[in-house]
Amino acid sequence: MKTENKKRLRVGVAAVAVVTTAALALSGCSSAPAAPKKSTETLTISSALMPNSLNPAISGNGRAGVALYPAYEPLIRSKEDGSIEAALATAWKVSDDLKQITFTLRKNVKFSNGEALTPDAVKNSIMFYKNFKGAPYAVNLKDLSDITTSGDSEVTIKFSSPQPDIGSMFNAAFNYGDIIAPAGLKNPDDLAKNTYGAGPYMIDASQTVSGSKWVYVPNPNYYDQSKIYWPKIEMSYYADQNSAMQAFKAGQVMYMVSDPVTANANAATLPAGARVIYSPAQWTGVILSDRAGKVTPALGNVKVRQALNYGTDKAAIVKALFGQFGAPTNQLQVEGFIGYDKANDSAYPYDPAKAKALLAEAGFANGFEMTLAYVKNTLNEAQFTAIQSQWKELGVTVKGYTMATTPEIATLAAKGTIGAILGQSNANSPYLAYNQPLAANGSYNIYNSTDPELTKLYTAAVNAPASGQEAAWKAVHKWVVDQAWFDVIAALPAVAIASNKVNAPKPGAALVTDFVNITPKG
Amino acid sequence: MLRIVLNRLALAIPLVFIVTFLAFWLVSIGPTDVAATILQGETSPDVVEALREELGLNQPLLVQYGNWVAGIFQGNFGNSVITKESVVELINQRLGVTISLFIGVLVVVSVFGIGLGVISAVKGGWIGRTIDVLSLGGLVFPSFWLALILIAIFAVQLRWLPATGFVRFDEDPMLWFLCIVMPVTAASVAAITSVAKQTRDSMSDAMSRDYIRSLRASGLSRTSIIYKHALRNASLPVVTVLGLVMISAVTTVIYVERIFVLPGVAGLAVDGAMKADLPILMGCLLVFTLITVGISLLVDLSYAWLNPKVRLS
Repeated sequence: MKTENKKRLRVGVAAVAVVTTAALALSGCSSAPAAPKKSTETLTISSALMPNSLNPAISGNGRAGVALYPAYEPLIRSKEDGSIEAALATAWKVSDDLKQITFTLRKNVKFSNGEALTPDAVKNSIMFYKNFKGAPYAVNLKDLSDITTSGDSEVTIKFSSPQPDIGSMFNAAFNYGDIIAPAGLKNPDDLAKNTYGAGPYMIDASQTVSGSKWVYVPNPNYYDQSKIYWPKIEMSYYADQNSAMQAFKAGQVMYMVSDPVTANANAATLPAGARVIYSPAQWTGVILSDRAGKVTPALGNVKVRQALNYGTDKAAIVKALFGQFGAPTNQLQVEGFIGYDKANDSAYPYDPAKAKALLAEAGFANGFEMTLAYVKNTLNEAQFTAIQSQWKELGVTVKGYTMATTPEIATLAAKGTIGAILGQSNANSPYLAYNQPLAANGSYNIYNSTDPELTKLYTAAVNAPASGQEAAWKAVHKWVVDQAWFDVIAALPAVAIASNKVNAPKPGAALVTDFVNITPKG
Repeated sequence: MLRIVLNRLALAIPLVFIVTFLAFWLVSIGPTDVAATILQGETSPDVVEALREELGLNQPLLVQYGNWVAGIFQGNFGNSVITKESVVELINQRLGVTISLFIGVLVVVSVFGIGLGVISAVKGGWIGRTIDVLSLGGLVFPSFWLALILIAIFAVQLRWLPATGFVRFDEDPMLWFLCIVMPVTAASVAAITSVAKQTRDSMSDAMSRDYIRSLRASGLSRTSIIYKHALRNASLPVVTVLGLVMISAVTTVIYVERIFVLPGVAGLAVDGAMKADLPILMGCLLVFTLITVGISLLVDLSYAWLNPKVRLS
């Protein structure tokens, strides 16, 4: 029952058609623990991914978007367990058809530049994200049809189609929940250098080095000054995780936004009091992209794709690379998220003999050749080597095609030589998790694979009432597993490493801890 | 002397064009699509194509290059196509780090490389052999490996120096010094080796010449003979090697900035290359080309200063 509740909260539609108030969050609970003391130290954070820009419309999200967290306050905030709490909005109401959400804004809030938070400011900010050229997540707002305001605190956002994530989508996860002050919208170029948010901190441009170090100082206009625990926050981009770990061990970094491989390699040698904190987040594995068999004819045969799944020793790869920070899986949803089905994890036990038999049945007894593209990084290189070696046992020769950055995936189809991609994807909601790997124009679906049955199952899931979401999304993912469109290897957590100087909750569904929640220890 | 400067600068101009055009061409044939980078692969190919058109990436390469050169002549390095930030401002933020590194490496390599080479040549015996072994050791340890070892010892174990990061000189001179000790050391060791070896060979050769014997016979002090006469005569090949190692330090600086998380121009160039952000990459490349040209010019001026024949020719 508890798990079921968590899933409902994660998908964000649990409170459909119900006014959700945040009375506890606003007033404070009488049995709440004592508030953390304010620190005199600078909170130092290492980030493993660099934001594209400080401009929230193009900064990137997840680990790439962490530079926004201190300075921009979202309408609502996703907590560690996936539940939603009040931020700039104190209450919200979702319509039955999941096409409309009405926010009641917090009163007397000012942005860091002194401008007031108004319904019009919220409306213009969200429209800015929708219309900004090059904004990567504008696609999530493509069906946004209208925003209306009422009085001095109500904003209603309307969509032309049901949005299963409507109850949670205006958090900080895809940035458009982060509200930008009117002055910032008037001068978008300055958004890359200065922050125009209503968060607890604001950027100190004089100490910040774009693309390398971001320094934040307290926002004197923040609506809850008691939650400003640090006199300064300094976040640095570490391209090399070894350097980040050394800085952490030297006491220079208090909180590392990290990854499973780094955590697994260093967990045993962390300084006293330091700990790895992690929570389920994403899958990693092979996207068997060429399902029509145009480039690699063998991949057009479902038996071949299933054979590759049977021929991958996922448990061995997980043990070697991720240790306790990973779990073998076959599916695109990870445990704790709606659509995850434990039964799918036993669909393809490691069985090379069965894999060879399936290949023979499909007419590929002597194997075949294929090209696997991947972004060159520690995580992918290690997985590629393992896969290449294991599939060689099946007679499948895998050639690698390396890319410098993830966006290069968009150009792979044009190469006409790629059979599959090694990648990872965030799976924090069934709707958004579907878009990237499965939607016809999804960025991981480079050959635009579609199937009438999948479309039917997806449509049913999107339109399912809250009570039917679980079963509907399970059906989607069972179909994907049965058709072996992927050879998913592992479910990986979002990982952070915290020193003995800070309290920090698990990263949760947003993939990174909201820095606002990192408090001084003791 | 002025003629030498003007000659060298005239030769440097085509070099700058060749290097920058090559970079333009290499990025254009590379796999990274800046439009896809901006959109982060989250949208359809049509949208990517529309953005490419808007950014002018579909124009012929020569037109794009011509536009960039025209901007440079107007003092406009352009803006990042991704963040829209001014390239000049981005480079200005980071130039201090890179200059600190280069000057630090130049001072350390000059002092230790030449010093060790002279001592090795003059003292000989076990001192000379020890210095030989130590200096050769520098060739064995790559700078990135040495950097990690230095961090493990002096930052993690002893906590004498910061593991990573940089503080500007005007903010805190002492912390600035502590921040660049390990990066400069890591970037200098291999270069010290090369300079020390060259200095020893040149000094040994100079010390065996007849004029040194004559100077000794005339009663000049040993110090005067070594530093005023032998070293000056031995210094031409040393300056050549010093110039070469400083030019190759450009690549070493890339590793060093990355490992020590120094916000320098090399890191900006790498990020620009990874994202195919041409204005940033070209701006950084121009800085490094000018640094290289500057070093070559200094080497040539040193030749002229050390050897009057060069001035006459």
